Amino acid sequence: MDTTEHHLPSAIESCSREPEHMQAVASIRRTLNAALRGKEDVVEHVLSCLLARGHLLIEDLPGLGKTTLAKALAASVGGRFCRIQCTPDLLPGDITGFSVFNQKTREFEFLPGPVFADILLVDEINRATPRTQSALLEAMAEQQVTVDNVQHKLSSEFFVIATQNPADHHGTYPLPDAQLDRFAMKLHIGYPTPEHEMRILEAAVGPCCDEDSPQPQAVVHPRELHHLQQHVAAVEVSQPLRSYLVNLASATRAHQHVRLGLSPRGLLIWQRVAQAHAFLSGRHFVIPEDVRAVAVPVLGVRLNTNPQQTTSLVDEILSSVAVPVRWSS
Amino acid sequence: MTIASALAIFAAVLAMQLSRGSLAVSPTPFLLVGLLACGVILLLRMLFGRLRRRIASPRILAGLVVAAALGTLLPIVHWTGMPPVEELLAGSLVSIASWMWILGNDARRTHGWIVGVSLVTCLLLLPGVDFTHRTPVVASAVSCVVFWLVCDRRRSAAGGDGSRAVDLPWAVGLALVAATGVIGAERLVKPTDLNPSYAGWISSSGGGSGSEFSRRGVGDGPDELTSASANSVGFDQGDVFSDSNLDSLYDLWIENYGEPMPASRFQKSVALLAEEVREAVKTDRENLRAGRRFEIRRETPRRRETPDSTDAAARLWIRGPLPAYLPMATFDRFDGDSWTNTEPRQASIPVRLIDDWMEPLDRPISPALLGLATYEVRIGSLGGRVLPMPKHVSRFRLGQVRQPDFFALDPGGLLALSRRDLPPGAVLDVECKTLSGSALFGVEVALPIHTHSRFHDTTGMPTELSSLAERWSAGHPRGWLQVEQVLHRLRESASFDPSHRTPPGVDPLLDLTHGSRTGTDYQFATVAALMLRSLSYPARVVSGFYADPSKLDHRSGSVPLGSDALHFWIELRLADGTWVAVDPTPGFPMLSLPVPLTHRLLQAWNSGIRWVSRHGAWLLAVMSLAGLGVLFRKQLVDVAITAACRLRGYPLVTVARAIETRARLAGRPRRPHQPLGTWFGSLGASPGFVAGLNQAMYSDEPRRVARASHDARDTLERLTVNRIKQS
Repeated sequence: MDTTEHHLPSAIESCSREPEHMQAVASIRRTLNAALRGKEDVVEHVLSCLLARGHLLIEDLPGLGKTTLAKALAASVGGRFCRIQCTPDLLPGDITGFSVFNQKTREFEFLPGPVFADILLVDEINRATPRTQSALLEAMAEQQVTVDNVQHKLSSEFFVIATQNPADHHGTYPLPDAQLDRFAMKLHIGYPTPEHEMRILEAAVGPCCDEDSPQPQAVVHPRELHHLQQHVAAVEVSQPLRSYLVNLASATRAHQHVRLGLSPRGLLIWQRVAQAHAFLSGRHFVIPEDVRAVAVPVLGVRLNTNPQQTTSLVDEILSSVAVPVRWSS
Repeated sequence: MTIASALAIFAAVLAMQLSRGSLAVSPTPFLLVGLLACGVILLLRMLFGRLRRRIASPRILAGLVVAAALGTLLPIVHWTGMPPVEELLAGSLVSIASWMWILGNDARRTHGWIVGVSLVTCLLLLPGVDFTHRTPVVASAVSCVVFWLVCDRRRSAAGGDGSRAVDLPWAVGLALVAATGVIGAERLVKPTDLNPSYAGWISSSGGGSGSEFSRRGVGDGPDELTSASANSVGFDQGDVFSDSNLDSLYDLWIENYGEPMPASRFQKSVALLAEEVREAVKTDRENLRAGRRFEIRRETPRRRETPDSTDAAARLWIRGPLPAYLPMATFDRFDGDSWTNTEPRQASIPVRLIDDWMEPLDRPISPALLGLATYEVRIGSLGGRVLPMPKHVSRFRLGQVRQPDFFALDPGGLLALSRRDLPPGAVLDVECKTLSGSALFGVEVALPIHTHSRFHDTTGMPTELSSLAERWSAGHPRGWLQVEQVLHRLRESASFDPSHRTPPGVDPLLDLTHGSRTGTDYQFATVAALMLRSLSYPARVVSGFYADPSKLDHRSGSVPLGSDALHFWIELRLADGTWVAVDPTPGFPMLSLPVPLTHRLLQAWNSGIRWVSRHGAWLLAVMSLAGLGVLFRKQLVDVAITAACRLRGYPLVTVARAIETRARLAGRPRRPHQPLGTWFGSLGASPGFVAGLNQAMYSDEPRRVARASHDARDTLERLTVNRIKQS
């Protein structure tokens, strides 16, 4: 029997090795699931995105819980939360902050904008003008903003959740490819099932306003989150899987219906998100299932197609590449 | 597609025919075979189409197919004993093509290996094929490839995978280019021949070749320096060797077949005929008598290792259509030990001079002699007086000799010089008629029966042979078919070995038919002649030279004939008195009787049946083993992989691989893009096994992959082929 024990699957092993990490993850997951009912798969992706230090784009109809999810995430991570409601007249300075002339000191003083938060919710991002949208470029890619030739560092846990509304095409400015490539993944929340809707209604009876209902509590400290992200980055990706990822990337580039294939930055993000997925599954190494599980959200933000096409396209790409198998032990 | 395949078969058959270079003879059996095959194929396909709908189990169908294929191929395989290899190839090609066509779309995998097997067969046959027959072999191989390409295209068209499709015009064009290249290369670049064709022409002064004999500077040239004297074969005119006055053919026989074995004095006593007694009293000159007697009991030939004997390897050279048979002596009487010629010598002059050519007085007149051939024979150190010429000479010219009285008839009816031996270095131009097989069949069906002729004498013939002859000939109409049947059975029952010698005390004839079943050409000829005589066909034995096409020296275009070219065959007499040569020895095809294709097919079929009945036991065993193997192949593979896993202590990766093989056997293979873990999970493997497998596959960390893992063993036992099939 002890031989069996000696060769226990790695999932149990890594869990027992780092229980506190898994507990932290589990509590975030619990918080998010409580805020967004019946969307465990979306929550998993949000968690992967968070642990992979990627930014999240949520594309869905109004009223499906985008903001609720973002607020719950911000609250559970315990960081500073800011929200930008994008409109066509929003200026870059409204996001990054601006310098004002201090009459007392006779100097210009920098007033930080909402981007200096740990978790930033950019609501209806495609309603902002391209000029304002690109103000986010530097912030998302390099975690810093430059105002008046002065660089300002952002929070080390800086995480953007952007939402956009696909139905409303009037007065929107579609995000350019360069902007889209900065996001790690694009998610669709979708309608909850009737049972969950029943439960949502049930929970709404009683509390009069938001203050009355129980607010999500911070379950992890930002420093702890940073620690988790470091663990994710250390998850092992073996050589066959790396070549699998590369093959998949070239398959996207070779596909006839894809206008712009996967960039190396996209490939990097895919690997990191797959690492996060493996970590969330309690493994310290990536398997092909991880890569495939995050393929739809990761590629969905990059392949620039509509959601219905994305799934079939990604399926096509995934089934055109053979899974690496290492028979020799 | 139907038309395209039929055309392809047709083209292959036509290519075969073209490469044989005998399109002049028409209608050729091959074209008929091609047409016939196409018809049969279409018929069978219709039939099978119906059958397939009725027979649900593909296994039964596969069994039927294998049985039928064997039934077709076995006689053909046995046919290899009969030498026209290209016919065999054509036959197998046609049968392969038909089978492929019959199987059609439903057996895509099957015809793949049928083509593979046929290609391997072609390659195996290649070394056994004469140089001149290589073109058809290559052509058939190319045609096989074309078929494969065509089928591949059909398969890809059916499977929807267009990437491997090869267009039919491309395939045919490719094959044509390849065939043209091969044939052209063969025509242009002749291989250099190592035949010592000049050995007899240029006398060397020796040295350099490494032979101790050549250093002396004499003896390795031809015996061209022989004087005109019949008794002098020495270097110099005055050099007379008293022991060299024997007939040269006699020497060659001894050189090739060995010395006659002296029969025990009291072994046999035969009453002498009156003329033989006279002959014994009147002692003939030994060199004239020597070529008229041949003993069939012989000792193993000894190579003479004296420098004097290192003369030219070739006695004469022949240029012309090959193969050619040059009779040098005929024998009509057999006494149980030796053949002799008892025909009286004819004194009249047998030729006349017309237009600078010598024309024999009894010109060949048989209607079966339709073709015409021209030969050029250069005489080297061949002694004797008989002119080395093929049969059925219509006219000839020997050097500058223009006087008919220089020529005489040998007792056997062969043309010879009347006064002196053949001059070395002389050139003999010959025009002769050739036998047309179909005409022979049409005209000369029945052979005359002269029961009292000496060509029916079966003295010295063991009774076993006559009963064997009766058994072999039974059920066949009298005539060429019966003759061919007897010869065919003889060739089939024994094998030819030129170095074989019957041990002392054993009858050489019974040794061939009942004993070791191996023999030399004179044994075959003797047995064949006696058997045919016992069936009342006039037959005689002939000895002479056989010009083998494979010995052709491409530079000079001629075949050198030495003592190793000596051969024995038989001749049968037609009603008009023409003697027709027939070769009973296996491996000498060209003078075997021309037989219609139908009869040959029947023969091949009968041979196949006989072969099967002879090797029935082990054939049945092999077939049933193979059948069982095919039926239970999945179980066998399963048992093998399970044993391999157990032997290696159930390592996870090996077990996973074994289960994947099982899934393939069960017809539910893993698609390449399916991740292993998910796939195993869907089959019902335990999560522990899946997790362990993932770690073994995708983690480089300490590879503590489970050996003797419970999970692995349990999964291997649980996921059997049947379970996977049902899941």
